[in-house]
Amino acid sequence: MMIHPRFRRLRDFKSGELEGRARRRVARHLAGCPRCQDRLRSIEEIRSRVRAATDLRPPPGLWDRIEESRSRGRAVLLPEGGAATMRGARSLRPSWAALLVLALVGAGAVAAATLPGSWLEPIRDLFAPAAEAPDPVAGVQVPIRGTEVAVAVESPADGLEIVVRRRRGSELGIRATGEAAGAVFRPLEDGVRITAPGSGRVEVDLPAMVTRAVVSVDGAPRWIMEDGRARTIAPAADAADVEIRVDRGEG
Amino acid sequence: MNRPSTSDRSDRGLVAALRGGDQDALAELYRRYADALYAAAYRITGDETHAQDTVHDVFVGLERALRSYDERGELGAWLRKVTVRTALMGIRSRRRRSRREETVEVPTMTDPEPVEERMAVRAALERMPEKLRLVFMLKEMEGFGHGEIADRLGISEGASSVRLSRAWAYLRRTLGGES
Repeated sequence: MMIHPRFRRLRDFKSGELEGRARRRVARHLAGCPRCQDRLRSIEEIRSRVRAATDLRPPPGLWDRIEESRSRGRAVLLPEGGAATMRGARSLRPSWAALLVLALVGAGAVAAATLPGSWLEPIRDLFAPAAEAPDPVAGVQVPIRGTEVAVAVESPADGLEIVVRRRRGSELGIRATGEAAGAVFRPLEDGVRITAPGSGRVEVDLPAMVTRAVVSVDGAPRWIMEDGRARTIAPAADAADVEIRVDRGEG
Repeated sequence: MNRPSTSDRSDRGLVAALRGGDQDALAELYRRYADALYAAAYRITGDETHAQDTVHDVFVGLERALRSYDERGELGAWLRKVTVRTALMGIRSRRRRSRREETVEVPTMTDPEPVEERMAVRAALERMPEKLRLVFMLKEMEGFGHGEIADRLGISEGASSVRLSRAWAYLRRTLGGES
C-alpha cells in the first residue's frame, strides 16, 4: 500500500523547508504519485490565488493624505527597533508635534507663549529624553460638548500612573507613554475608554470648561473632580495598583 | 551643479536625500514601494482602510524611522518589515469592525483576472479567523519563519505551526484546493 506524505510535509517540500533525506523521500514519492502531484499543485494554486487576491494597490488619494499629514506637522513613531506605538492613537496632533520640536530645541520661551505654565516642565521632561531613545507615544483627542468628562481605564497593570491636568481648548486629550502607548483608545461620548494600558503613564488633559470629571478603573470610580475640587477614592483591595494624581494642583 | 533626478537615484541615495530633508526623495520612495507595502499591509490587516492607515503612517514616520536604518539590508525589505510591524501594532488597537462595514469598494487589482474570483478569495480570507490569517500571511506571503512569527504575535513556535496548518486546512476547504 502506498503511503502518501502528509499535507504539511508537501507544503514544506514546496516551500523548500524540507531538506536532506526527507526531501529526497518526498521527491521520490512525487515522481510516481499523480495524486500527490495534484496536491502539490493545489498548494501553489492556493498561494497564487491568495497572493493575487490581496495584491492591491493604494488608492490614488493616499499620497495626498500623507503629504497633508506631513505638512500639518503630524508625527508618527514607527515600531522599528523595538520602539513601538499604536495605530489609531499614534498620530500625534500638530500641536503636540510642534511641542516636540520646541522641547527638543529647548525653546521654552516659545512654548511659554502658547501653553499654560503648568504644561511646560512636564512636556520638557517627557520629550527631551526622546531625542536619544524614543519612547512609544500614543494619544487621542476627543471633542467635548458638555461640561462632564469620563475617562474609563480598563484592565490596567499594577503601577499605571495617571496624571490629570487642565488645559485650554475644547478637547479631552489623552497622551500615553511607555507601555501605556500600547493601549486601545476608544472615544466615547464626552469621554474616552483606555483598554489594557499596562503599567506606563497616561496623561489626561481636561478642557477648561469641564466642571465634572471622573476617572474610573475597571468600572469603579477612582478619581472625581467636581466644581474644581478633586478627590481620590480608595481602591478596593483587589483592584489594580493605579496611581491617579493631579498635576501641579490643577483641578 | 547637476543633481540627478530622484527617479534616477539609488535607494541609498534617496535615503541620504531624505535624511537631508529632500522631500522629493520621499515621494520617489512612495512611487517605488507603496504598491508592495500596501499589499503587505492589506494582507496583515485584512482591511483596506487599515492598510491605508498603515502605509500612511509608514511614510509619515519614515523620515524619523530612517534614523534606525543601518543600510545593511535592502531598503525594500526593511520597509516591508516596518510595514508589517506597523500593521500588527495597528491590529492590536483597532476598532475595525464598524469601519470594515464602510469598506465595500471594489479594490484596484494589479492584473485583469476576474474580479469575482478575487472577491471570492478575499471573502474567504475575511471569514478566516484572524489568528489563522495572520500566521498564514506572515509565513506564506511575507516569508517570516515560525520563530519570528511567534515573536511578533507573542505565541509559541508550536502554536504558529499549528495555526498555519489550520489556516491551510481552512483555505483548502474553502477554496476547493482539497484533493
